[in-house]
Amino acid sequence: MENQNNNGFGFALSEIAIPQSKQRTNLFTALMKFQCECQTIPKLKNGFGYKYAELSKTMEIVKPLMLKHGIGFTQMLHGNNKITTMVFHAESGETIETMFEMPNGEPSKQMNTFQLDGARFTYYKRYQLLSLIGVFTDDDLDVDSRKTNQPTTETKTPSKKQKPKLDDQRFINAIKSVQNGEYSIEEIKKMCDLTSEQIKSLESLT
Amino acid sequence: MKNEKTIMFNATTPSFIARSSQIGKLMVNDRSGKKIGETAISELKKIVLFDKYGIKTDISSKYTDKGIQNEKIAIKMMSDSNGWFDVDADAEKIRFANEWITGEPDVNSKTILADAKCSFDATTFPFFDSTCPNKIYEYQLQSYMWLTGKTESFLCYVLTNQPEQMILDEINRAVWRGLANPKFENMDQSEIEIIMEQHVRSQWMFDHIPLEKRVKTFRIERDDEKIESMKQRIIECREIYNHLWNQI
Repeated sequence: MENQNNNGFGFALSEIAIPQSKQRTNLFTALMKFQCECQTIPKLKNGFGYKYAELSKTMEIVKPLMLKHGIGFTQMLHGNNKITTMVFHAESGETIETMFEMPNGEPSKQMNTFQLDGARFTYYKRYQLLSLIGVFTDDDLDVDSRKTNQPTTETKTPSKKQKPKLDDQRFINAIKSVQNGEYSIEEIKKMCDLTSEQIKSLESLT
Repeated sequence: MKNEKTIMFNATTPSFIARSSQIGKLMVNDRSGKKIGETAISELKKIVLFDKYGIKTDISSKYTDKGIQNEKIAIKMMSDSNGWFDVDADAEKIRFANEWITGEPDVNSKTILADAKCSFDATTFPFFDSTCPNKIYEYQLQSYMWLTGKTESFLCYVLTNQPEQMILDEINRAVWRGLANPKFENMDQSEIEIIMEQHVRSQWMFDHIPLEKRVKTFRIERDDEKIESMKQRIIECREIYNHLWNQI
């Protein structure tokens, strides 16, 4: 399915209809924070004669971050060819949405009508959502990095080594290690990124 | 903490030093439960073949590949799940050795000694076990405690997602099998691809299972009797090893 527009989103930007009257400070703040944290989505899937970012892979990357910032989305099909994507801020109920009328495709030897519908729904759902939340896809990864660095949330490693933050369980274990004489308080402070409360509790051990 | 002549790997070695990963099989007895068993002898034959002629009989498989590729992810998951604060998945592993055995634990921090086992899929993950399900691995952990002088260790089974490249390879294989299967004769390739991708991903990706359920940790205490029995078995193995060496 070829992109009919030159903006790379697969639909005209003028289709994005955001009513201007409502305040959306909470949603926009959350969206801004989300955008700062969200990585570029790699286009790794080959199919239909081009490379694209798979919807399931895209979701794997964006969903946890959206959840973190209290944002969600819903996508609705209207009739045979209209699709609406709504992004919402769960706590405030603020929303933005966009509606797009999809062009019809022609069934071919490779795809019957149902498959074609499925493919174009997925295609536009992906592009509409990515556009609305301001996330970009990228196909600049070279072949080797594609083989070895698949974009799963599990394989992502930070480039610079940071001190680990300690959640409750880890902090309890750190305290135990001080009590057992395995680490000194100073060593724990040097090793870990502690909150002021954790430092206080740790120092109270002396 | 007991520390028995622990030295680094490049020390002078006697004729046969067992590896921690081999010791479990070498400890298998025959049916009487008193003598060395066939499993142990077969393991020794493999070791001799490799030591003398460089012939590897355990060629890498998809099972070992997953473990190797996912090792760091597994260590991160077991550290998160158990709340270990001084475990670094990127830390370089250290090989230990003494007169009888050599081994390289996956995790050896000041407070934690542990080994990761990546289950190949959910069917081999010990969801329902409450005690260590594998004696061979238990001996491996005992050997690490022997080598490091520690008194407790952890055997962690981890259900990591299959590496993406292995998923893609499996989808390709499944599609080819599907194309040859009369059950799918009314479908075209793209349709089969969708079905197979869904199937493979549903069997090999486990993000829908909470992290704490994807890590099963068994605490193993140091057992000096077991360590002594390993020592005796290695002495016994040395004789058989020499005999096998001279046979080929």
